[in-house]
Amino acid sequence: MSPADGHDWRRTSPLAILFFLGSILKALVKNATQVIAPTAAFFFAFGGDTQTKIIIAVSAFVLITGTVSVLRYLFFRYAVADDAILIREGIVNKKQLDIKYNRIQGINTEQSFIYRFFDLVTVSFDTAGSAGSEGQLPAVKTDFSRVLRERIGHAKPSDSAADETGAPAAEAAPILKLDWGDMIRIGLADRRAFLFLAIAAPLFDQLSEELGEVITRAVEDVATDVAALGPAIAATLIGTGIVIVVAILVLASIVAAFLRYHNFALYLESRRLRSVGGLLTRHEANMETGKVQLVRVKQSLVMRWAERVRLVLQQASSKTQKGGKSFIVPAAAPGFEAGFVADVFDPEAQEIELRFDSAALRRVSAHYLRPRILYFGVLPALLMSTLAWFEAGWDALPLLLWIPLWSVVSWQRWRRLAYHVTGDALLRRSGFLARQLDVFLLRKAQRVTITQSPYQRRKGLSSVRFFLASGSIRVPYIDFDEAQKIRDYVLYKVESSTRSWH
Amino acid sequence: MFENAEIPLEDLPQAEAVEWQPLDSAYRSRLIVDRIITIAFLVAGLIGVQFVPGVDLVRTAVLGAGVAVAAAAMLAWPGIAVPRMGYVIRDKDLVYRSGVLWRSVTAVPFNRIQHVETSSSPLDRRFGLATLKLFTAGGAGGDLKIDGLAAGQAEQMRALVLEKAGASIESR
Repeated sequence: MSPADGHDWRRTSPLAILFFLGSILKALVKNATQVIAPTAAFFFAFGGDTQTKIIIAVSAFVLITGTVSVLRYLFFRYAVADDAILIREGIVNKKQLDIKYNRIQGINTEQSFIYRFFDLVTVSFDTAGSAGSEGQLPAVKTDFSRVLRERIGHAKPSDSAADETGAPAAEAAPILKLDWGDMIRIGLADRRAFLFLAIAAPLFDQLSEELGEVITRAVEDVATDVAALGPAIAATLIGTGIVIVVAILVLASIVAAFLRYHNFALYLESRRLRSVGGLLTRHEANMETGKVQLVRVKQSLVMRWAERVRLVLQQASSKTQKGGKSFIVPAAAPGFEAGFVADVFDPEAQEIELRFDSAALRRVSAHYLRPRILYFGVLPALLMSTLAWFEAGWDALPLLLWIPLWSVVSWQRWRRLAYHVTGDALLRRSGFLARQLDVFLLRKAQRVTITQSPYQRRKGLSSVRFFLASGSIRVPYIDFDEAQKIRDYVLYKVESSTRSWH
Repeated sequence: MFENAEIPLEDLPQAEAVEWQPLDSAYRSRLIVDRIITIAFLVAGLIGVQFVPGVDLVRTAVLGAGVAVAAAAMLAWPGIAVPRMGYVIRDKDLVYRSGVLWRSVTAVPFNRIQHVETSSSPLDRRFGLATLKLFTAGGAGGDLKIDGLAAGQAEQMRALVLEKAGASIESR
């Protein structure tokens, strides 16, 4: 706690009330069940006609949330110190946040539709070792956020000599722009619609089966043609209904993509990544390239068909917040990632060949398949079918189909698993239906573990796991000697590195 | 200027070619005592079952035999597993190995260590043992735990690791 100090405590713009209102509404929606009960009780207990009730309820709601928002705004103060941002907030429970500049990993800004007219943004800070982004400054001037960013950029230990080469260019050209076609691609690639289809499919199956029975019965009863047609129409209707729901979900995904990424532009200026985009609320995300722990290039089946890849740049995460806040490039034409990753890692990892089908990628040993198929395919299938045999007899036999099915899945996974170690980076390919490439700088490893199962030991194989500040990457079933060499090389890289890893 | 001289892989120091330091010999006894307590609970449960009316004697006998086999394995295991555990402190990292069937070797460079912790349970203290924990950054299980060190040894290691980690930070 700083004393009643020399800090210049400031209030944000009164429009921050909107921000607080928004966060109260969000909290209410999150705790909807707790909100509904008292509301229902009120409606029940309070006499009078419905109209009066609604008027009273709505005005009470507006009054309470409005007052709380205004109070929260009035109690919210911030100050910019030499080494930290200080935030004081809270009406009843007061709290003060000291966010040290050198702990800040990135600054993200959001500009809602209304804020745009007043040149205001909401700034949120990503800090290492905290759950979620911990501090937020609502409704501050856009210029102020820029000043803040500059300040934080200077406060952190410089990552390389190339860092502080003058002020950033006024407005550099974006290295990537997404158009409306990309929004549709991003929306289509969204998994939710397909997830629904997957869940609905067996349901649909069962329904049509039942309906089929109804139809046959109707026919057997020598009902009229019209009566027999009824169930058929119902089946068609249900089918159409599911198709419509999927279509709506796909449409919603596309709308969501527009809302989040409309006019998406990606900038890389003096080792800082910046992305802006969004239809109503403009989101701006920032990340220092030096803080990137891992780059993930992902291509789902839809994205592959749409000829796009998705890029995720991970930064250090804390124990409570897995995965950390990532910097996301939702869609880019294949080929973009190679140059982009080279720029992000510059001057390191320049020679890396970032392609799914790169000839440099080496597959892991095919011995990967045997224990996998045995322990997760053959054994459970035999066990389950034996147990089911007592109950169902020969009907349990189809359970054995799990074995070929699982084998095909494992084989496909094995085909994808490949790795390549360059002078200063490691590349790993993986995936089943989607394809994924993970790249990280060797010097950013935190720990390396080599494990050997008895089977691996017999075959002279081992698995290596590289622990990064953002998670771990495992390269299974590679030659033991090779694994040791890679491990020793990674240790050499880490231990001889004088650069900061974060 | 950035340099990137080629270094032959064979010339790199090998983490495997080291003298493994064994854990404290009291650790085996400590594990055995720990397991005796577990077995005592199992046996007590088995005896307790006898007082439940309608319990089949043959089944209890089978169960008892199972417990006996498990107990024997549990008591013998520390004698096999503990000698396989070991660590070595090198100039720039700490390497720890463990596992009999599934073996693993973990290397933690000092310049990646965030903080160090020693701890000891009451049972540990009876045997003069302590646990050393090395924390590195990262969400997923970002720490290395070494059980069964002599208390004084753990304390020395903590100081040494801290010193090395600190030195690597300063020279950054």
